[in-house]
This record gives sequence, structure tokens and C-alpha cells, in this order.
Amino acid sequence: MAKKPKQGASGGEAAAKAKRASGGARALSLVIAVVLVTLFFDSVMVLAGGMIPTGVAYLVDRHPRKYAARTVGWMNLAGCLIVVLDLWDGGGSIEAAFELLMDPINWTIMFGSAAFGWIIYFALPPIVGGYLQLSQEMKLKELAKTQKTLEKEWGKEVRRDADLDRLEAVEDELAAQADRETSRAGAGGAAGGDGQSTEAGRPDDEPEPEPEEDLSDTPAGRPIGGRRSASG
Amino acid sequence: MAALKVSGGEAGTEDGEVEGGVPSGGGPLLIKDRYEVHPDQPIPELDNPPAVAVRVTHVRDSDRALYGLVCDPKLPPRLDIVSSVHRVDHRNLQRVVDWGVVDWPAEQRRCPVVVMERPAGRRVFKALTAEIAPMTEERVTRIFLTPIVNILRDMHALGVYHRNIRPDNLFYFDSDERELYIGECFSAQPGTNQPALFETMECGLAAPAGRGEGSAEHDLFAVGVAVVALLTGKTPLAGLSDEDVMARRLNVGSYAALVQNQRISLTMMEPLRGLLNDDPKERWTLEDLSMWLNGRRLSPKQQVMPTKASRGFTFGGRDYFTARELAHALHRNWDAAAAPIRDGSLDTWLRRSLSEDDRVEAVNEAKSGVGEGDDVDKLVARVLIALDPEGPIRLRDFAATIEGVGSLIGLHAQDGQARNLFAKTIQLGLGQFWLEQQRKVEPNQLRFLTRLDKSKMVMNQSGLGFGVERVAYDLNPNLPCQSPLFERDYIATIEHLLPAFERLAKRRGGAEERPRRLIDRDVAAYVMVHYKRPSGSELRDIEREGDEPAGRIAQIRLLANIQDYLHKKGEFPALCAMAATILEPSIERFHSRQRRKKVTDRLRKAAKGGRLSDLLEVVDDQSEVKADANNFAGAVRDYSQSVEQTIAAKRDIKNRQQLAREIGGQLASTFSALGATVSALITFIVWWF
Repeated sequence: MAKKPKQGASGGEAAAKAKRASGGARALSLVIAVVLVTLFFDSVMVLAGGMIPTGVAYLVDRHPRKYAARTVGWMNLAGCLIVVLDLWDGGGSIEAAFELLMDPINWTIMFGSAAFGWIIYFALPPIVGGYLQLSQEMKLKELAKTQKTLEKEWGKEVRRDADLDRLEAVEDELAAQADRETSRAGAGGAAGGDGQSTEAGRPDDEPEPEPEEDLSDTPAGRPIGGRRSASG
Repeated sequence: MAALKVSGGEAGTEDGEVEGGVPSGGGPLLIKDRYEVHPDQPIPELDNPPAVAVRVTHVRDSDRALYGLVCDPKLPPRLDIVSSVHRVDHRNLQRVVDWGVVDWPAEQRRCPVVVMERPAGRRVFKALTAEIAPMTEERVTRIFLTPIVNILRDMHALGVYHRNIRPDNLFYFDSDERELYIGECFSAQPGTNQPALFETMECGLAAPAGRGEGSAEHDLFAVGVAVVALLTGKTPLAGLSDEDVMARRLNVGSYAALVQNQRISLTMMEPLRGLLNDDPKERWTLEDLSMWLNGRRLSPKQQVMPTKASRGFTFGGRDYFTARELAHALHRNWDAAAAPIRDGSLDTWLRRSLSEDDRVEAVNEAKSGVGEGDDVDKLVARVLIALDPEGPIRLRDFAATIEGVGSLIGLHAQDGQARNLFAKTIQLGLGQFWLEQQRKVEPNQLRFLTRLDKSKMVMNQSGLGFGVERVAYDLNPNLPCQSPLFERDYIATIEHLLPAFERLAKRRGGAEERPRRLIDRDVAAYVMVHYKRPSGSELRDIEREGDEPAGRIAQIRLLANIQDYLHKKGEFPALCAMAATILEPSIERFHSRQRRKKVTDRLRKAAKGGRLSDLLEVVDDQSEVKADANNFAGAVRDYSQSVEQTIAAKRDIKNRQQLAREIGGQLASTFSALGATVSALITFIVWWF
């Protein structure tokens, strides 16, 4: 009991230390920012206008690692660099900055590059998802073949030590998830028919098991919830 | 027992290793490739029911006068004494030549055959009821008594007793009829074919199968009866049943009952009274008879009759005057016997009317050994021994001399009631009580009692190779294997076992007909008794594992051991094929399907070789079993790991969307950074230049 306040005090000290440190960094950043704004006010003006999409992306991105903001930010920055270099090319002044900002071409370059960032951000996850699906299916098929070979040679008793209960539990979760997604997709379809991008729609693309060997009786080859709902 | 059938039908095929058989296409049956048995040429005049006589010829000496007695397989012949009696070289004894087992076409099973020299003369008595011209005393002495004393002396010296001496088993030596020829003694167990008339009082009261090997006095008693028959020209009491004969003998004594009112000279009366004496102590020995033949003459012994009571004991509506007579009557009415014992009327009669202190004391002793809660059968059985100590041990339908206890269970081994009574006889300690009541015990009787005591321990063990089956084989060296598997076969010796299995396998060719078990209780007990090498561990495995692979392998291992020991060069392909079928389930102990197939193929190939040990080498290859077990453990591990990977993969599927977003986000930001850098560089370079 006597130690608790001590511990609380030390914890508080660390937090205070961290607070002090972040406070110091902020102060330093502020100083640098003030210096930069003072020295390159015209460029900052262009960047402030051109980087608006990044700010929006930062605000709408709820991911802790802010992948959307980063993706958009990098591309947006690349676009803004072209305009900033134009500014620097003319010697740089607030008037020139205004002039550049008045040109819609420059806005197109800056916002267009940001849009390209958004395209990259939205395009990659489905591609990755497709790749993952393919590789997982192939892996399961390989595992099913291995299991089938072992069962053929050693009989069903080879399953003796396999944790099939745990596998079933995972499969149940998967089936429940697939059911949820199917019902969500159904509701979406009824509303506007735009639910095609959900997981439930994907199994249609799954490769059919080879007809010469039925792997459906192996733990890796048996149908899972997603497939059931897809086939249903 | 009805006599065996004889027919001229085509003989069955026989290819046993030990015994010869029929050349293909039928014809005579071969014994040891030396003797041809002709089933289609019966010799009814030489039948010795139930054994039937048929012509036998020697393969290389067709002039030799031989015949064979085809014995009833249910009444095993005395094959164990054939080699001993073969050594008794006497012109007046029918000479045994050999024996074998053949497929007997008329019975459609295998029967033992004893090959003997054929008597040149006719039977003296065609049947026991036949009559002939009485012989003179001098002729009887010269042609019967003199040779038979020598024959019996030789036989008894070898420890063998004839036990088949009776008028219809005597032949004339030749057509001159100047000499007699003593008939065979092999076709049935001692005493089983003899009417009670030719047995001593003790044996006559026992069941035919329970008379035991007997001793010299049993042969001499039969000689006495035969002498009466030869002197009088007819067998005394020939037409009567055994029961009536014994009733008369019990009533007036054997000598009086047999001689009746025939005229017997004083000279012949002396040996007859000695030979037919009911008191074992007074009965003549071979030496007495020999001395009489050499001229010693004494006054005939008076027949000592058992003590008669002053007043009869009324039981079952009849009065009995002697303790032995009463014991016989009580045995015949077993269920009513306990009442007079319990109500004290027997004690009163013994004390007041019989006045025989020994009997009173013996009966008291018999009763004192029975507790309140004990079985009433124990009381009756003990009292009967006390009343007639020289008589057989009696327990309900069971009545056997001490040496006959074993042979009785041997001949009725398949009869459940006989088994129970035998077990009860042993458990009630009747043999021990019988011993306590004897005034004089023969060494062979003591030997038998010791064997019975050992039997008690063996019988109380329920394991395979023990129990009453083992006791039956222990006490009966001639008893063939009684297994239901061999109901059409005859296994006279352990060497016949595997050939019998081979025949069985050939007969039951179809897989569904094949027996599931080759080693049943009877085969196990037979092997334990007759196979001289240890087989206990295999029998324990068979019992413990049953139809499991280890049990099946143990069965074949036992037979393989016998083959390796007794049939080193013998091959049994049909048995091996059957064994392979039995062993097939044991292949399932291999986990690998590939290995199973490989072993099955090897097993089938090995079966064609006819050696059981080859099958075991395939099925019971420990290195193969171990390798399979190790590989299986590895496969189980691999499978378990693959399931773990499956679980991980399916978890990834579950989280695929999230994963795709995460990886997609990372990739997008990375690509974006790279793209921006490249774009910035290009822009900068263009701006610079």
C-alpha cells in the first residue's frame, strides 16, 4: 500500500517526461515551420493549396497507419513539386504564387496527382485479395493432396493426432462469416446491386477441384462455409 | 456298439505323410507302403465286434496270411502295446504285424487298422452262445493252459496284460485242431469288449470303459472262465445280461455261479477255484497255475464267501445279505440310497445283522467325512466305498476301478455328464478315500492315484491346454484327438496331427467352410500331452488374444513348431493355404496399405511352399513390423502438421479481406512513395536542365 503512490508517482513522471519530450519536438517543429514559412512563404502558399487532397485524405482515413493519407500524400506532393519548381523557376514571389494558383492547369496537376494516389490506394487491396485467394486455394489444394496421399497409404487412422476439432471450429467461424456476408450482399443487391466487390462474390472464380481425384473428404479439401454459400 | 460297416465301395484318397493311402483311382488302401488293405474283401469269421476283419496282403509277399481288424475309432484300439506284444514270440499267440490309419470308405472317415497274422484254424467258439463238444481235462491243460501260462508270463513281464481272453477269441492253430491259438488283444481298450462274465468281481461291477488296464489276476480270471467253457463245451451264463451275471455272482460267488452244477473233476476244481476266487488275496497267481501245471497238487481252496447278515437289509423291495451286494443295489438306485444311510437303518443293520466291525467302522468313517452342507452324492459314494472297498468307485452313473477312472473319462470325453461326474469324483476326493479303505494296494494303483491327484490340479486350471480335456489325454495314451475338427479323422499320435490338418484343409477348400480356429481346447490339450517340446507360451497367446492378430499368429506358430520338429521335410500346402487365410487379418496390423499388399502377395507365395514357418517369417517379420510402426508414426506427425497448416490457411481465408486491406494499403503507400520519388526526380532533372 505504501508503494502504490510511489509507483503512481514514477508512472506519472514517465508520462510527464514523454509529454515534455513530445512537447519539445512540437516546439522545435513549430520553430522550423515558422522559419520555413517566413523564408519560403510563396512555396508554402502553393503547397498549402495543392496539398488540400492530402489533408482531406488524412481526415477521412481511419486506419491507424493512415495508408490512404500516405498514398495520396506522396503522389500529391510529387504533383505539387512540379508547380513549386515552376514558382522557383520564375524567381519566386507571392505574386507569382498567386498567379500559379490562379492557373487551373496547376490545380489539375496537383489534384490529379492526388487522384492518382487515390486510384492506387483503391486498386491495390482487391488485387492483393485476389492474389491471396488464389495462393490460399492452391495451398489448401496442396495440403488436401498431401492428406489424401497419407490417408490412401495409411488409412483414416493416420488422422489420430490431428486437431480436427480446432479445424472444425475455424470452419464454423468461416461459415458463419460467409453467411453474414451473403446476407449483407443480398441486402446490398436489393438496395442497389453494388455488392459484387464483397468476399461472398469471389468463390465463383475459384478453380474447380480436379475431377480425377475427390479431395472433399480430406480436412483441407472439404467445402468451407464460403463455398457452400457461394454454391448455394 | 454296432460293428463297423464293410463295403466294396471305392476307397477315398489318402495322402497323409505318416500313413500310406490309396493309390489314385481306388483299390486297396496302403499302410506304410507295405500292406494293402482290401476293403472289398471282408472276412466276417474273423470279426471281433465292433472291429471288422478284412483281407490284407503284403506288397512284396502276397503269400503271407494276413488280415486286418478295422477298429471303431470311437473305441480306440490299444496301439501303444502293439510294439511290445510284437516282441512276444509264441506260436500259440496271434502275432500282430503292424498298424496304421486308413480312409475307410464305408464309414467315410479314417479308422485305425491293426494288421495281424491270420489263424489257419477256425474259431473254437463261433460266438459266446455257441456250444462245442466238451474237451477233456488233459486236452484243456495241454492245448490251452500250458501255452497260455507261457504267453501271459511273457506279456506280463513286458507290463502288458491281454484282457481279451474269452472262448470266442480262441482259434485252432490249424485244421488238425491239435493246438490252440490265442486271439488278439488290440482292437479295444482293456475290458471294454469283455462281458462282465470274464472280469473279476471288482471289474465286473465297473462300467466296461472303467475297468482300466488291469493286472495279471484279471487275465487269470478270464483264463478260469475260458477253462470252464472248454471243459463244459459252452460258455457259462452266456445268454444272460451283464447285470444278471453280476447279480448271480454277487449272490453265490463267481465260482459257484459259473460252474453251477457242472461236473468238474477234483483235479480241475483246484485251479478253477483258485482262478475264479472272488477274494483277491486268495486268487491264484501265474506262479500258482504254473506250479499246478508242473504237477503240484493241493486240496482245492474253499470259496471264501463274504460275511452274510443274519437278516437281510430290505432296499427297493429286495433283501440283501452281504455288504457288497447292498453296495451294488444302492448304486443301482442312487437317488434312494441316501435315505437308509441318513436315517440310521444301514448302521443298525451293519451292527446287528452283519456284525462286521470293519464295515461298521468304515461306514462311520465315510459318514464322518461328510459335513452338513456337503453334497449328498459325496455321502453315498463314500458309504459305497466303505461297504465294498474292493469294488469300483461309484458316483451315480459313474463306476470305475481306480485304474479305470481315467479310461472311463477318456472314452466318454465328449459326454458332458461323464465329464461332470469325473470332475466330481476327483473333487470329492473319492480316490483318496478309496485308498484309505484298502487293506492292500498294488503299486500300479498307487501310481494311478498319484496321477489322479495331479489331474485335480490340471482340471482346476481353465486355460487352453488344461481342464478335463488335458486329463483325458493324460490318463489315456491311446485316446485320439477328440477335436470336432477331426470328427472324420483319427489322430493316433502327434505325428498324425499335421497330416490331419492337411486333409481338413483339402476337404474344406472353400473359405467359408474353413475353421476360424485351428487350435481348440482338444487340440491344445492333445498337443500339451503328446508334443514333448514347450508350447505353453503359444497356447497362452492364443487364449489371451483370441481372434486378434497375435492369437492367430500364435496358432500357426504352434503348428509351425510341430512341423519343424516332427516333419522336417514334410510340406503341407493345403494347410498353409488355410493358415494364410487365417493369418490374413493379422496383416492388418501393418498400417501401410502398400506393405499390406506386399505382405499378402508374399504370404500367398509362401503358402505354396507348404512350410508354415515360411508364412510366419512373412507375417511376423519384426523388422518389417517395426519399420511400419515407425513410418506410421511419421505419417501421423506429417498429417497432424498438415492439419495445422490447414487451420492456419483457413484462418487466413477468414481474415482475407482485412489482410488484403492491410497488405494493399502497405503496397499502395510504398508504390506511391516510389512513384512520387521517381516523378520528383524526373521533374527536378527537367527543371534543372
